[in-house]
Amino acid sequence: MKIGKRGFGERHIPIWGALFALPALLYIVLFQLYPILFSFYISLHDYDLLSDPVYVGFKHFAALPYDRAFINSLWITIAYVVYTVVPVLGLSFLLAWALTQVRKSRGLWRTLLFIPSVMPIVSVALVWKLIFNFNGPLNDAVTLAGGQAVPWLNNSTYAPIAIVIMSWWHAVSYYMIIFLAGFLSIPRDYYEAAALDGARGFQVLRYITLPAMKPTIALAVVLATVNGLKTFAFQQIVTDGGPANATQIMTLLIYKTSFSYLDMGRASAYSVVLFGGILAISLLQIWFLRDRNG
Amino acid sequence: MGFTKKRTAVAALSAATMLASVCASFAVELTFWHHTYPPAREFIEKKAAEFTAKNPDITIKLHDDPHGDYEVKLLAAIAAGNPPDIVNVLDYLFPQYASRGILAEVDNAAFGVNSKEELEALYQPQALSGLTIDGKVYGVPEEFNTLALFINKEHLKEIGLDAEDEANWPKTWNDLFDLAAKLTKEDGSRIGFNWVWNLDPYWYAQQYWPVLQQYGCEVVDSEGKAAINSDACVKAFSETWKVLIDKNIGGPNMATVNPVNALQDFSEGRQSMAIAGIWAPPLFSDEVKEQYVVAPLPQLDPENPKTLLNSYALAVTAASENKKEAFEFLNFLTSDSDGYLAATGYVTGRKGWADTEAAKNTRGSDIFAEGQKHGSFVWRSATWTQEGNAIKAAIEQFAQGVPVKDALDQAAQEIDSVRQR
Repeated sequence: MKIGKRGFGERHIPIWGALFALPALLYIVLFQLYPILFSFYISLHDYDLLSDPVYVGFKHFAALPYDRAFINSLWITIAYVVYTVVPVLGLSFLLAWALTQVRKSRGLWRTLLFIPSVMPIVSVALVWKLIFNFNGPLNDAVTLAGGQAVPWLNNSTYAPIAIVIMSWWHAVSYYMIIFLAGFLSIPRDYYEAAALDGARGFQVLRYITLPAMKPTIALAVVLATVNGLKTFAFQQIVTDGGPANATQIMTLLIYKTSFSYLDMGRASAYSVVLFGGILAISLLQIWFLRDRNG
Repeated sequence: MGFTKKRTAVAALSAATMLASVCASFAVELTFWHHTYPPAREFIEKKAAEFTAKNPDITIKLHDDPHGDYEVKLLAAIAAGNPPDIVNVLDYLFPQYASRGILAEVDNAAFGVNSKEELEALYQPQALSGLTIDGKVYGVPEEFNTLALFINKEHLKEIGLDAEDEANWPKTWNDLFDLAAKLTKEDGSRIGFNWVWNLDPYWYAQQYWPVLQQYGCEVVDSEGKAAINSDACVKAFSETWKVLIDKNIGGPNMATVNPVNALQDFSEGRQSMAIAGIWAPPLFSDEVKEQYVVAPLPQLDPENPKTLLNSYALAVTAASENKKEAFEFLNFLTSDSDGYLAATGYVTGRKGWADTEAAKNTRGSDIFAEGQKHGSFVWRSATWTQEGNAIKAAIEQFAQGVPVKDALDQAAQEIDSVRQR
């Protein structure tokens, strides 16, 4: 492949095209590729941000199996992903399907349901923090209904549940839009043909909708999983990883290890492991999509 | 003629430009980073203007960020090799910062003294001890605090007690918990007393440190090994922090968590007693501001009181090119004890602060001044944040039913592991 004016070489990328791509390429190299490589480099060093890095080989990686904070965060992260991905995707799918059935004010409903996704997550987190406060409106409602106030954010059992609930609220509308696009891309002919063949209700869903939605579902699963692994704001703003580290997901542990404990080497080792996990899931996505398209 | 005039004008302009350049080369702009506290900002800006009026070549540029964000941003600036001249640092971070060469040793001459001893003589006893590492002083207090017990006198009145009468003040922890039980309302609308919950580890440490000292508990022993799971420490936590939860009159489940106002329940009249500093009243609601009295911190042995000392201090960075001017400004700023206390509620720790007009107008200033005499700073460690976090996690665990000893054993393991790294 050569870059040059049309007519030179076998395959050509017009020089103007290359120039237009350059800023994006530079951005990717400088702000994405370089930090990833630098993070791996730092994971092989002891580095406190303020002195020169000291090479220690794979010390930080070798310590990971015995690092209780890391193991704890790993399990919390996995649990968070499991408890958010499945319900969020299920709810999104149902909402998107319901939207396809709406005949009146369809645009209004879509807009209303999409609002949570476009709200700044910091504002959302602060509002939910107020809602889940022990003296907040949710507990007011619980006590009015005759129940006992729940220590949502101060208890290791309830705090992860509260975080999961706010994550659902924020994420559902985003995946709903993805599923909606998937539903709308299914040709009407399929349904008409199925109807002629006598397919009804669940059969249409099982044999027409779900197979046609498979690439969309695969994409949504991978996106939701990756986003779940990268989540940070709710845990940082609402509980700061507490109580007793019950909501300390991996990204928050990385942040604290870096900027509170000044242990950049160890934090980078955590980051490399998290990156490896996300990369594996992303490759899985490519494999899924290729399998479908191939 | 016209040509000559033009030449003269050009020459004059050049001379003026050169003069301006020369003057500019002598001008100093001190960058000063502070955690966000609006009264402090106003006061510092006022004092900075006064300092510039006396020293026209020196200007001060103040920047503030909320606590938490502030520390992260400061570290980023230091790591990038572009730190401000003057910084605002909590005392427990001094070992970490000083051991990494971030802070400059205090310039005695800027404070008008010739030695460390003379510098210390300007301050209350121990005021500089928390800012001294390996015999070198790295900062001066902007706040030199101790904690006391704030009591809502209207709440006491409801159970037939006069809070102005010292005989009704709880002297021991048991007195405190007994009184708290009487003040707590069963419908959950009021709690008698509570510790802080779900805040940063230093908030917890400020409250448990005097308790640990009273019980003879050390976080780390003389050999540098974790001792937080010793019998003394288990007893200290069991007989104080845990009691509230066991008696169901306090604990995390009843606390309103607000990092911006750690005393929100007391501030809004939902809690009758709270442990806080002299800086706390501006956070109170107007109603509570009228209703509080200040009592000494409860003790295990009231005849042998032990309290906390802490300091949000001011320091000059080692990388500053204007250290002399920066320290001169710090001396100018912090020597106005009266102005500081009146405007911000901060006690600068200078000798004689308790005799100032502002102190006389501050409720409880005599209690705080007495408390300062019996205080000590939290343990010193270059890995304090990890160690503080481990103890915080232990407290949050035993608050939820994990045995105190087991929770503290875990904290001790974590502290040892951090220290071995």
